[in-house]
Amino acid sequence: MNQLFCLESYLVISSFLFVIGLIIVLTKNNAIQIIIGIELIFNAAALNFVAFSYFRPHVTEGMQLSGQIFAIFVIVIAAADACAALAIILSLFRVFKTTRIQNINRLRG
Amino acid sequence: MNLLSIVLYPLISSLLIRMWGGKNPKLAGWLGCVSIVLSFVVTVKVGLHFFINSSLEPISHNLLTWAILPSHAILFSLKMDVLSFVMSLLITGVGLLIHIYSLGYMKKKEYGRYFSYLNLFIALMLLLVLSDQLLMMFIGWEGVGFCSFLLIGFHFESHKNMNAAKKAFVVNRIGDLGIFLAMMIILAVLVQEKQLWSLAFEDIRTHLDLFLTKSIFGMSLATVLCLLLFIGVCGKSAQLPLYIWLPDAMAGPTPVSALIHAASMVTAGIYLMCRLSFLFDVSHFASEVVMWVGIITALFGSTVAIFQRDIKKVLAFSTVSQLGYMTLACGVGAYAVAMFHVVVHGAFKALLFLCAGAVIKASQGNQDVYQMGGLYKDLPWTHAMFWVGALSLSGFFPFAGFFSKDLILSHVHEHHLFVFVLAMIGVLLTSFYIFRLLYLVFYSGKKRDLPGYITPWVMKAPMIVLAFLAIALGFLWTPSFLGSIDLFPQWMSSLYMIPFSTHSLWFEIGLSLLALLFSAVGLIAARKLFVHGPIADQWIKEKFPKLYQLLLHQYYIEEFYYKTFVHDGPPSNRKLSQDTAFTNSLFHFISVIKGMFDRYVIDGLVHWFAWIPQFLGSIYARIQDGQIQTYIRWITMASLIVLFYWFLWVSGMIA
Repeated sequence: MNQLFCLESYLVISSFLFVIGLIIVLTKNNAIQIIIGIELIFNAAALNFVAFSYFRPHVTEGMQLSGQIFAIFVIVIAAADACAALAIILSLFRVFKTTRIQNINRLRG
Repeated sequence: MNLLSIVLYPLISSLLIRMWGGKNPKLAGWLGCVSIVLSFVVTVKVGLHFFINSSLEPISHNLLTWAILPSHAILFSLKMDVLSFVMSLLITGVGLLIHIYSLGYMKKKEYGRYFSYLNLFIALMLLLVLSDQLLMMFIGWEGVGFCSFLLIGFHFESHKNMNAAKKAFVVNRIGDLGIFLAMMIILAVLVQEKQLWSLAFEDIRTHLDLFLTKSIFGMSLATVLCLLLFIGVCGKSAQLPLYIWLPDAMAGPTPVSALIHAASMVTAGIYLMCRLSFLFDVSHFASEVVMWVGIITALFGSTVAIFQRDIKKVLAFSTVSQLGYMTLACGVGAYAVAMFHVVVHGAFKALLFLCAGAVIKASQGNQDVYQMGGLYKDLPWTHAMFWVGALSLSGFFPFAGFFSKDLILSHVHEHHLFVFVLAMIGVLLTSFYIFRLLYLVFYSGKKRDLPGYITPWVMKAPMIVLAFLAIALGFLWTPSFLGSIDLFPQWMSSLYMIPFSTHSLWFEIGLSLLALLFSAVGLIAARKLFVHGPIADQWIKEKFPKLYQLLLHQYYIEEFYYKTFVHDGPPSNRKLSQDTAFTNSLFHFISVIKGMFDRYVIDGLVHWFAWIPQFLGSIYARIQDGQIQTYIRWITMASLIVLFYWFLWVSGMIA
């Protein structure tokens, strides 16, 4: 039980999340799917913050929850990011009638 | 400086006319004529030196050094000796008269283009004769060919004229190849043997023995050079294998025919042979070739001229024939005589062409002699001038043609008896065809009521001057029984080593009388046959259709060229092209192979070179394809590589 409930297992899960998110970002065509991948990468980072904060051996007074606060920040940023990204995707869809990012390449020289 | 200005006046005025003359015909006409006047005056001024100081020392003016490498420099310089002087006088003198004539002949709106071309021609022709080495002469040689192209196709609205221009250009290129090869051989020999980077006539003359001792294909190099140069001469001076462009060149305006295709440009070939006479003199084989080509061309031209219907075509074949006589004179070594005939012919042939121009102008563009006739009342002036030209051409005493033709005949007689007989027949034919033309145009029963056309003075005056010259020029070189004036051979004496014939007095008189008799027979026969119209032509056409067609079609030489070299056949006669002649298929086969070579080897090479950067570019283009995911991929890959090495470094596996 103690063996499983250690920092390394959190880091492994977090890196799994990060790699899955990265692969989604690299391979998916759909812009919305890519945003989902980005969310996964955010959450991998948030998980790291929480894990490091929890398993920290020496903690200064008043700083015990600093990692968790960062995680909340990350969630807020992710939400704001999703808002902005979805708005962009929506307006792109209006112009291009598609969300396939391969087809949205008007800027290519 | 003086020599340079002779060339520069017409050149600069040509540019000026091209820039501002188009909208201002008066300016174009004035500039065109004044520049030639200046050029003429300077030529005379420079040339007077020969007579005042009575030394035939040439005057030279260095222009520039064309340095291929500093040690291998070819010097460009202008040089005027008596030969160049005589040619320059001919070009600027006759050129000036024809410029003035053109003021009346050409339409006002054509002035700008016309005079700029004509001035450019004069400048380049002067460059040709004033150059002291082959390379710069070749520049002039090509340049006058180009101007000839422009002027033949002057009325380019008609497809026929453009074809004639193209034909002249292409045929001249064939000849130019010969000259180009000769230049390369000369340069190669001089560089190899003497380390002399030069094409100057003087250097060739000094090292003449080099060309005599070396040989290729069992011929001495001098002979090979002469034959190659003679190909060029054939092209420019319309000798037999390559004459075909000259009759078609009559598509140009008539003054152009008078200046370029009778008086000056076509004599460039004769000039070249005279300039390099020392080279032709040492090669007997080449001289024989030149002689035979000359006499055959002379006879060819005069026979073909007999049945032509176009007034300008008759004169064109007459020019071919007369150029044949000049070549013949060169072939028998009488270079000074050839030059004499060049000058004399320049005067009377220009005169004949200008008369023809006046006739064409009066009959509103009609050139068919069958539709003329009875013009002597409408055009009394032109009629008189034409008589002078015709008498001079056929060699009647005291016209200039008499003297030059007599000299050619006596030199030929000395050299080769059979050729002499042929030349005599040529004299008869010459007289016959020119008086046939005269009687058909000016007499021949029928009356045409022309709308009263009065030849303007700008056209009359040049004709009068030329008529005067066509009489007076002969007295520069008269035979012994007529005072034995020898101004002309004295001028030329420093240039040519020709043993002048020393016949007995009675022989010379006999020869002259014989030639006169032949000319008179031609005149009388033409008068009998043609004074009432082209009845004789019809008669021959019915009785001897083969002969008539043979002569009318110029011995089918043109058809032969069209069938062999031009795949499509002559534009006038499409039927021929349907014949699947052997030569036709042969040339088709060769062209297919050439096409394959061109497509796969030459084009293939070019495409291969073009493919290399394209291939490399396609690789690098993949890095920047505009897809954000691709960029992320590259970033990820690069970060992984950096991380990997960082781990290795941290773990101490690499230093």
